[in-house]
Amino acid sequence: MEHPAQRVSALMERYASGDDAVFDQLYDLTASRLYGFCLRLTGDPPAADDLFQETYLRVHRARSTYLPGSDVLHWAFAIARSAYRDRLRYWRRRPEHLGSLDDAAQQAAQQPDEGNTPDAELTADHLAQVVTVELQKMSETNRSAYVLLREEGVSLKEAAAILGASPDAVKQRAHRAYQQLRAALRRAQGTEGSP
Amino acid sequence: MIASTDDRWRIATDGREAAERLRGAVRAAVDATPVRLVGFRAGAGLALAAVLIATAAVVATASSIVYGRLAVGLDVLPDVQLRMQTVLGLLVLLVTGVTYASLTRGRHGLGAPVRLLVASALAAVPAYAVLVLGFPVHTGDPPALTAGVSPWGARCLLVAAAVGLIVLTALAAALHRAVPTASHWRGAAAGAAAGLWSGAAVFVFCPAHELGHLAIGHVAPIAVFLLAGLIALPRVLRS
Repeated sequence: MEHPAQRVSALMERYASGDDAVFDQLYDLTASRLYGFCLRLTGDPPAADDLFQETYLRVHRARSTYLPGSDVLHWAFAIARSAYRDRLRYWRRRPEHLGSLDDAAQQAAQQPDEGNTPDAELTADHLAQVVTVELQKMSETNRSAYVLLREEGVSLKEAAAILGASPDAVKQRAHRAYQQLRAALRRAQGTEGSP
Repeated sequence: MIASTDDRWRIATDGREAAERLRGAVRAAVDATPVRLVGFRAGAGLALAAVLIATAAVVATASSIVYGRLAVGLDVLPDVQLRMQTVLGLLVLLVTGVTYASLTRGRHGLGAPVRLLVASALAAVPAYAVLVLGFPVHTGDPPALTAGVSPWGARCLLVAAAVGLIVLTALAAALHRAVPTASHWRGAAAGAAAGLWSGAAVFVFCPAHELGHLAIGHVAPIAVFLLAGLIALPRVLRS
Protein backbone atom coordinates (compact mmCIF):
# COMPACT_ATOMS: atom_id res chain seq x y z
CA MET A 1 0.00 0.00 0.00
CA GLU A 2 1.25 3.47 -0.89
CA HIS A 3 2.36 5.69 2.01
CA PRO A 4 0.39 8.99 2.18
CA ALA A 5 3.57 11.07 1.79
CA GLN A 6 4.48 9.05 -1.32
CA ARG A 7 1.01 9.59 -2.70
CA VAL A 8 1.27 13.35 -2.15
CA SER A 9 4.72 13.31 -3.71
CA ALA A 10 3.45 11.41 -6.76
CA LEU A 11 0.58 13.90 -7.14
CA MET A 12 2.98 16.83 -6.79
CA GLU A 13 5.20 15.36 -9.51
CA ARG A 14 2.20 15.22 -11.83
CA TYR A 15 1.24 18.77 -10.87
CA ALA A 16 4.83 19.92 -11.43
CA SER A 17 4.79 18.47 -14.92
CA GLY A 18 1.66 20.47 -15.77
CA ASP A 19 -1.23 18.16 -14.82
CA ASP A 20 -3.64 20.73 -13.33
CA ALA A 21 -6.33 18.12 -12.75
CA VAL A 22 -4.59 16.78 -9.64
CA PHE A 23 -4.71 20.09 -7.78
CA ASP A 24 -7.88 19.24 -5.82
CA GLN A 25 -6.48 15.91 -4.61
CA LEU A 26 -3.24 17.60 -3.67
CA TYR A 27 -5.16 20.28 -1.80
CA ASP A 28 -7.26 17.71 0.08
CA LEU A 29 -4.16 15.86 1.24
CA THR A 30 -2.17 18.90 2.34
CA ALA A 31 -4.60 21.67 3.32
CA SER A 32 -5.32 20.80 6.95
CA ARG A 33 -1.68 20.49 8.03
CA LEU A 34 -0.60 23.47 5.99
CA TYR A 35 -3.41 25.57 7.40
CA GLY A 36 -2.51 24.47 10.92
CA PHE A 37 1.07 25.57 10.32
CA CYS A 38 -0.05 28.94 8.92
CA LEU A 39 -2.34 29.45 11.90
CA ARG A 40 0.47 28.69 14.31
CA LEU A 41 2.74 31.17 12.53
CA THR A 42 0.21 33.99 12.44
CA GLY A 43 -1.90 33.18 15.52
CA ASP A 44 -4.86 34.80 13.85
CA PRO A 45 -7.41 33.07 11.53
CA PRO A 46 -7.85 35.92 8.99
CA ALA A 47 -4.06 36.32 8.70
CA ALA A 48 -3.72 32.54 8.47
CA ASP A 49 -6.27 32.50 5.62
CA ASP A 50 -4.20 35.06 3.71
CA LEU A 51 -0.93 33.26 4.37
CA PHE A 52 -2.49 29.92 3.41
CA GLN A 53 -3.70 31.31 0.07
CA GLU A 54 -0.38 32.96 -0.65
CA THR A 55 1.46 29.75 0.18
CA TYR A 56 -0.60 27.73 -2.31
CA LEU A 57 -0.07 30.44 -4.90
CA ARG A 58 3.70 30.27 -4.33
CA VAL A 59 3.61 26.47 -4.48
CA HIS A 60 1.74 26.81 -7.77
CA ARG A 61 4.26 29.31 -9.15
CA ALA A 62 7.24 27.21 -8.04
CA ARG A 63 5.74 23.82 -8.92
CA SER A 64 8.10 23.11 -11.81
CA THR A 65 11.04 23.37 -9.40
CA TYR A 66 9.68 20.69 -7.02
CA LEU A 67 12.30 18.01 -6.37
CA PRO A 68 10.70 14.63 -7.19
CA GLY A 69 10.49 12.34 -4.19
CA SER A 70 10.98 15.06 -1.58
CA ASP A 71 8.37 15.73 1.11
CA VAL A 72 5.74 18.06 -0.33
CA LEU A 73 4.51 19.27 3.05
CA HIS A 74 7.99 20.16 4.23
CA TRP A 75 8.55 22.08 1.02
CA ALA A 76 5.20 23.82 1.51
CA PHE A 77 6.06 24.61 5.15
CA ALA A 78 9.28 26.25 3.98
CA ILE A 79 7.34 28.27 1.41
CA ALA A 80 4.74 29.28 4.03
CA ARG A 81 7.44 30.42 6.40
CA SER A 82 9.21 32.37 3.66
CA ALA A 83 5.92 34.08 2.78
CA TYR A 84 5.27 34.82 6.45
CA ARG A 85 8.73 36.35 6.90
CA ASP A 86 8.11 38.53 3.85
CA ARG A 87 4.95 39.74 5.57
CA LEU A 88 6.85 40.46 8.77
CA ARG A 89 9.41 42.49 6.82
CA TYR A 90 6.59 44.38 5.11
CA TRP A 91 4.93 45.13 8.45
CA ARG A 92 8.21 46.21 10.04
CA ARG A 93 8.76 48.69 7.21
CA ARG A 94 5.23 50.01 7.73
CA PRO A 95 4.64 50.28 11.47
CA GLU A 96 1.04 51.41 10.90
CA HIS A 97 0.26 47.80 9.91
CA LEU A 98 1.81 46.31 13.03
CA GLY A 99 -1.62 46.27 14.63
CA SER A 100 -2.47 43.05 12.83
CA LEU A 101 0.47 41.34 14.53
CA ASP A 102 -0.28 42.61 18.01
CA ASP A 103 -3.98 42.06 17.59
CA ALA A 104 -3.46 38.32 17.24
CA ALA A 105 -1.96 37.99 20.69
CA GLN A 106 -4.38 40.50 22.22
CA GLN A 107 -7.38 38.84 20.64
CA ALA A 108 -6.36 35.46 22.03
CA ALA A 109 -5.66 36.98 25.44
CA GLN A 110 -9.06 38.68 25.54
CA GLN A 111 -11.05 35.51 24.88
CA PRO A 112 -13.49 34.72 27.72
CA ASP A 113 -11.19 33.23 30.32
CA GLU A 114 -13.19 30.56 32.05
CA GLY A 115 -10.14 29.60 34.09
CA ASN A 116 -10.44 32.87 36.03
CA THR A 117 -13.99 32.27 37.20
CA PRO A 118 -14.09 31.31 40.86
CA ASP A 119 -15.04 27.67 40.52
CA ALA A 120 -13.61 26.93 37.11
CA GLU A 121 -11.16 24.15 36.47
CA LEU A 122 -8.05 24.48 34.41
CA THR A 123 -9.45 23.16 31.14
CA ALA A 124 -7.68 21.84 28.10
CA ASP A 125 -9.10 24.76 26.14
CA HIS A 126 -7.60 27.23 28.53
CA LEU A 127 -4.19 25.58 28.34
CA ALA A 128 -4.35 25.59 24.56
CA GLN A 129 -5.23 29.27 24.70
CA VAL A 130 -2.25 30.00 26.95
CA VAL A 131 -0.01 28.18 24.46
CA THR A 132 -1.47 30.13 21.53
CA VAL A 133 -0.97 33.48 23.25
CA GLU A 134 2.54 32.61 24.38
CA LEU A 135 3.52 31.38 20.90
CA GLN A 136 2.61 34.79 19.51
CA LYS A 137 4.72 36.52 22.14
CA MET A 138 7.92 34.69 21.22
CA SER A 139 10.18 35.36 18.25
CA GLU A 140 9.19 33.92 14.88
CA THR A 141 12.34 31.79 14.74
CA ASN A 142 11.63 30.16 18.12
CA ARG A 143 7.96 29.72 17.29
CA SER A 144 8.65 28.04 13.92
CA ALA A 145 11.20 25.69 15.44
CA TYR A 146 8.84 24.71 18.25
CA VAL A 147 5.83 24.18 15.98
CA LEU A 148 7.77 22.02 13.52
CA LEU A 149 9.48 19.88 16.13
CA ARG A 150 6.81 19.58 18.81
CA GLU A 151 3.55 19.93 16.94
CA GLU A 152 4.22 18.81 13.38
CA GLY A 153 6.50 15.98 14.47
CA VAL A 154 9.22 16.91 11.96
CA SER A 155 12.70 15.49 12.65
CA LEU A 156 15.48 17.85 13.73
CA LYS A 157 17.34 17.50 10.42
CA GLU A 158 14.21 18.12 8.39
CA ALA A 159 13.24 21.09 10.55
CA ALA A 160 16.73 22.52 10.03
CA ALA A 161 16.30 22.13 6.27
CA ILE A 162 12.84 23.75 6.35
CA LEU A 163 14.02 26.67 8.47
CA GLY A 164 17.33 27.13 6.67
CA ALA A 165 19.28 26.88 9.90
CA SER A 166 21.70 24.44 11.48
CA PRO A 167 20.24 21.56 13.54
CA ASP A 168 21.93 22.93 16.67
CA ALA A 169 20.34 26.35 16.19
CA VAL A 170 16.90 24.81 15.62
CA LYS A 171 17.26 22.64 18.72
CA GLN A 172 18.20 25.68 20.77
CA ARG A 173 15.31 27.76 19.42
CA ALA A 174 12.78 25.01 20.11
CA HIS A 175 14.17 24.59 23.61
CA ARG A 176 13.85 28.32 24.31
CA ALA A 177 10.27 28.25 23.05
CA TYR A 178 9.53 25.21 25.18
CA GLN A 179 10.92 26.90 28.29
CA GLN A 180 8.87 30.02 27.59
CA LEU A 181 5.71 27.96 27.16
CA ARG A 182 6.41 25.96 30.30
CA ALA A 183 6.87 29.15 32.31
CA ALA A 184 3.60 30.55 30.92
CA LEU A 185 1.72 27.36 31.76
CA ARG A 186 3.16 27.40 35.29
CA ARG A 187 2.04 30.99 35.71
CA ALA A 188 -1.42 30.08 34.45
CA GLN A 189 -1.60 27.17 36.85
CA GLY A 190 -0.43 29.44 39.68
CA THR A 191 -3.20 31.91 38.85
CA GLU A 192 -5.70 29.08 38.82
CA GLY A 193 -4.51 27.76 42.15
CA SER A 194 -4.47 31.13 43.94
CA PRO A 195 -7.56 32.02 46.06
CA MET B 1 -3.73 19.46 25.55
CA ILE B 2 -2.84 21.36 22.43
CA ALA B 3 -5.45 21.16 19.69
CA SER B 4 -4.43 18.90 16.81
CA THR B 5 -3.85 20.32 13.36
CA ASP B 6 -7.15 18.89 12.13
CA ASP B 7 -8.97 20.45 15.09
CA ARG B 8 -7.35 23.82 14.41
CA TRP B 9 -8.33 23.49 10.74
CA ARG B 10 -11.95 22.69 11.68
CA ILE B 11 -12.18 25.38 14.35
CA ALA B 12 -10.48 28.08 12.32
CA THR B 13 -12.43 27.44 9.17
CA ASP B 14 -15.63 27.23 11.20
CA GLY B 15 -17.05 24.24 9.43
CA ARG B 16 -17.44 23.02 5.90
CA GLU B 17 -18.74 26.21 4.35
CA ALA B 18 -15.75 28.31 5.38
CA ALA B 19 -13.36 25.57 4.31
CA GLU B 20 -15.00 25.47 0.89
CA ARG B 21 -14.80 29.25 0.63
CA LEU B 22 -11.08 29.09 1.36
CA ARG B 23 -10.60 26.32 -1.19
CA GLY B 24 -12.52 28.38 -3.75
CA ALA B 25 -10.32 31.42 -3.10
CA VAL B 26 -7.14 29.34 -3.45
CA ARG B 27 -8.42 27.67 -6.61
CA ALA B 28 -9.39 31.02 -8.16
CA ALA B 29 -5.98 32.52 -7.35
CA VAL B 30 -4.18 29.50 -8.78
CA ASP B 31 -6.32 29.42 -11.93
CA ALA B 32 -5.68 33.13 -12.50
CA THR B 33 -1.91 32.69 -12.28
CA PRO B 34 -0.25 31.22 -15.37
CA VAL B 35 3.15 29.61 -14.81
CA ARG B 36 6.06 28.67 -17.03
CA LEU B 37 6.84 24.99 -16.59
CA VAL B 38 10.61 25.03 -16.90
CA GLY B 39 12.08 22.42 -14.57
CA PHE B 40 14.86 23.35 -12.18
CA ARG B 41 17.40 21.04 -13.82
CA ALA B 42 16.71 22.49 -17.26
CA GLY B 43 16.92 26.04 -15.89
CA ALA B 44 20.15 25.38 -13.98
CA GLY B 45 21.64 23.60 -17.01
CA LEU B 46 20.80 26.52 -19.26
CA ALA B 47 22.21 28.96 -16.71
CA LEU B 48 25.51 27.08 -16.43
CA ALA B 49 25.81 26.77 -20.21
CA ALA B 50 25.19 30.51 -20.54
CA VAL B 51 27.80 31.20 -17.84
CA LEU B 52 30.46 29.08 -19.58
CA ILE B 53 29.82 30.50 -23.03
CA ALA B 54 29.55 34.12 -21.87
CA THR B 55 32.66 33.91 -19.68
CA ALA B 56 34.69 32.41 -22.52
CA ALA B 57 33.35 35.04 -24.93
CA VAL B 58 34.16 37.96 -22.59
CA VAL B 59 37.70 36.69 -21.88
CA ALA B 60 38.39 35.91 -25.55
CA THR B 61 37.12 39.29 -26.72
CA ALA B 62 39.00 41.25 -24.05
CA SER B 63 42.20 39.25 -24.63
CA SER B 64 42.05 39.82 -28.37
CA ILE B 65 41.50 43.54 -27.95
CA VAL B 66 44.12 44.15 -25.24
CA TYR B 67 46.85 41.58 -25.94
CA GLY B 68 46.09 40.42 -29.46
CA ARG B 69 46.03 36.77 -28.33
CA LEU B 70 44.09 34.47 -25.99
CA ALA B 71 44.67 33.43 -22.35
CA VAL B 72 47.77 35.50 -21.66
CA GLY B 73 47.27 34.91 -17.94
CA LEU B 74 48.00 31.22 -18.42
CA ASP B 75 51.20 31.95 -20.32
CA VAL B 76 54.01 31.47 -17.80
CA LEU B 77 57.70 30.69 -17.77
CA PRO B 78 58.59 26.95 -17.89
CA ASP B 79 59.86 26.83 -14.28
CA VAL B 80 56.45 27.80 -12.85
CA GLN B 81 54.33 25.57 -15.10
CA LEU B 82 53.60 23.10 -12.29
CA ARG B 83 52.62 25.89 -9.88
CA MET B 84 50.36 27.41 -12.53
CA GLN B 85 48.63 24.06 -13.12
CA THR B 86 48.18 23.55 -9.37
CA VAL B 87 46.75 27.03 -8.79
CA LEU B 88 44.49 26.72 -11.84
CA GLY B 89 43.27 23.31 -10.68
CA LEU B 90 42.49 24.61 -7.18
CA LEU B 91 40.76 27.65 -8.66
CA VAL B 92 38.55 25.45 -10.84
CA LEU B 93 37.69 23.34 -7.77
CA LEU B 94 36.85 26.47 -5.76
CA VAL B 95 34.63 27.93 -8.47
CA THR B 96 32.87 24.60 -9.06
CA GLY B 97 32.36 23.96 -5.34
CA VAL B 98 30.87 27.37 -4.53
CA THR B 99 28.68 27.32 -7.65
CA TYR B 100 27.43 23.86 -6.68
CA ALA B 101 26.70 24.96 -3.09
CA SER B 102 24.62 27.88 -4.29
CA LEU B 103 22.71 25.86 -6.91
CA THR B 104 22.12 22.48 -5.29
CA ARG B 105 18.70 21.68 -3.85
CA GLY B 106 20.00 18.99 -1.51
CA ARG B 107 18.19 15.85 -0.40
CA HIS B 108 14.97 17.57 0.71
CA GLY B 109 14.64 20.02 -2.18
CA LEU B 110 15.35 22.82 0.29
CA GLY B 111 18.87 23.67 -0.79
CA ALA B 112 22.32 23.07 0.61
CA PRO B 113 22.65 23.06 4.41
CA VAL B 114 23.02 26.61 5.67
CA ARG B 115 26.50 25.83 7.07
CA LEU B 116 27.70 24.96 3.57
CA LEU B 117 26.25 28.21 2.22
CA VAL B 118 27.90 30.25 4.99
CA ALA B 119 31.24 28.48 4.50
CA SER B 120 31.06 28.99 0.71
CA ALA B 121 30.25 32.68 1.03
CA LEU B 122 32.84 33.41 3.70
CA ALA B 123 35.64 31.30 2.21
CA ALA B 124 35.46 32.65 -1.34
CA VAL B 125 37.48 35.86 -0.95
CA PRO B 126 40.23 34.54 1.38
CA ALA B 127 40.63 31.30 -0.60
CA TYR B 128 40.99 33.18 -3.90
CA ALA B 129 43.34 35.73 -2.31
CA VAL B 130 45.56 32.96 -0.94
CA LEU B 131 45.71 31.32 -4.37
CA VAL B 132 46.57 34.40 -6.44
CA LEU B 133 48.56 36.40 -3.87
CA GLY B 134 50.18 33.54 -1.97
CA PHE B 135 51.30 31.55 -4.99
CA PRO B 136 52.22 34.11 -7.67
CA VAL B 137 52.73 32.62 -11.10
CA HIS B 138 53.81 35.77 -12.91
CA THR B 139 56.94 37.78 -12.28
CA GLY B 140 56.69 40.42 -14.96
CA ASP B 141 59.27 38.53 -16.91
CA PRO B 142 59.51 38.62 -19.92
CA PRO B 143 58.30 42.25 -20.03
CA ALA B 144 56.61 41.73 -23.41
CA LEU B 145 54.07 39.53 -21.69
CA THR B 146 52.90 42.22 -19.28
CA ALA B 147 53.13 45.16 -21.65
CA GLY B 148 49.36 45.65 -21.84
CA VAL B 149 48.60 45.36 -18.14
CA SER B 150 46.73 48.34 -16.74
CA PRO B 151 48.39 49.86 -13.64
CA TRP B 152 45.53 49.52 -11.15
CA GLY B 153 43.61 46.75 -12.81
CA ALA B 154 41.01 48.94 -14.54
CA ARG B 155 40.70 46.55 -17.48
CA CYS B 156 40.49 43.60 -15.12
CA LEU B 157 37.73 45.36 -13.22
CA LEU B 158 35.77 45.75 -16.44
CA VAL B 159 36.22 42.09 -17.38
CA ALA B 160 35.34 41.00 -13.82
CA ALA B 161 32.25 43.24 -13.77
CA ALA B 162 31.00 41.85 -17.09
CA VAL B 163 31.55 38.21 -16.15
CA GLY B 164 30.27 38.61 -12.59
CA LEU B 165 27.07 40.34 -13.70
CA ILE B 166 26.36 37.65 -16.28
CA VAL B 167 26.92 34.86 -13.73
CA LEU B 168 24.90 36.59 -11.01
CA THR B 169 21.98 37.10 -13.40
CA ALA B 170 22.15 33.50 -14.62
CA LEU B 171 22.25 32.07 -11.09
CA ALA B 172 19.43 34.36 -9.95
CA ALA B 173 17.31 33.19 -12.89
CA ALA B 174 18.03 29.53 -12.12
CA LEU B 175 17.31 29.91 -8.39
CA HIS B 176 14.25 32.16 -8.77
CA ARG B 177 11.49 30.56 -6.58
CA ALA B 178 13.37 27.25 -6.66
CA VAL B 179 14.55 27.06 -3.04
CA PRO B 180 12.42 28.72 -0.37
CA THR B 181 14.91 28.70 2.52
CA ALA B 182 17.97 30.68 3.69
CA SER B 183 17.61 33.25 0.92
CA HIS B 184 20.22 35.62 2.38
CA TRP B 185 22.98 33.06 2.66
CA ARG B 186 21.99 31.49 -0.67
CA GLY B 187 22.18 34.95 -2.22
CA ALA B 188 25.59 35.48 -0.64
CA ALA B 189 26.83 32.09 -1.91
CA ALA B 190 25.52 32.87 -5.42
CA GLY B 191 27.25 36.27 -5.23
CA ALA B 192 30.47 34.57 -4.13
CA ALA B 193 30.14 32.14 -7.04
CA ALA B 194 29.66 35.05 -9.45
CA GLY B 195 32.70 36.76 -7.93
CA LEU B 196 34.81 33.62 -8.26
CA TRP B 197 33.82 33.21 -11.92
CA SER B 198 34.95 36.80 -12.47
CA GLY B 199 38.15 36.01 -10.55
CA ALA B 200 38.79 32.97 -12.73
CA ALA B 201 38.15 35.05 -15.84
CA VAL B 202 40.70 37.72 -14.92
CA PHE B 203 43.17 35.01 -13.86
CA VAL B 204 43.04 33.66 -17.41
CA PHE B 205 42.92 37.12 -18.97
CA CYS B 206 45.66 38.99 -17.12
CA PRO B 207 49.37 38.30 -16.51
CA ALA B 208 49.83 40.97 -13.83
CA HIS B 209 51.97 40.32 -10.75
CA GLU B 210 51.83 43.60 -8.78
CA LEU B 211 50.12 43.30 -5.42
CA GLY B 212 47.99 46.45 -5.84
CA HIS B 213 46.76 45.35 -9.25
CA LEU B 214 45.89 41.86 -8.04
CA ALA B 215 44.14 43.14 -4.91
CA ILE B 216 42.03 45.73 -6.75
CA GLY B 217 41.50 44.19 -10.15
CA HIS B 218 41.28 40.50 -9.22
CA VAL B 219 40.32 40.02 -5.56
CA ALA B 220 38.11 43.05 -4.78
CA PRO B 221 35.41 42.19 -7.38
CA ILE B 222 34.76 38.91 -5.58
CA ALA B 223 33.96 40.76 -2.35
CA VAL B 224 31.77 43.21 -4.28
CA PHE B 225 29.76 40.44 -5.93
CA LEU B 226 29.43 38.60 -2.62
CA LEU B 227 27.88 41.73 -1.11
CA ALA B 228 25.72 42.25 -4.19
CA GLY B 229 24.40 38.70 -3.84
CA LEU B 230 23.76 39.15 -0.13
CA ILE B 231 21.88 42.40 -0.59
CA ALA B 232 20.13 42.12 -3.95
CA LEU B 233 19.45 38.44 -4.48
CA PRO B 234 17.27 37.33 -1.52
CA ARG B 235 14.22 39.21 -2.74
CA VAL B 236 14.70 37.91 -6.30
CA LEU B 237 15.02 34.34 -5.03
CA ARG B 238 11.87 34.53 -2.92
CA SER B 239 9.45 36.57 -5.02
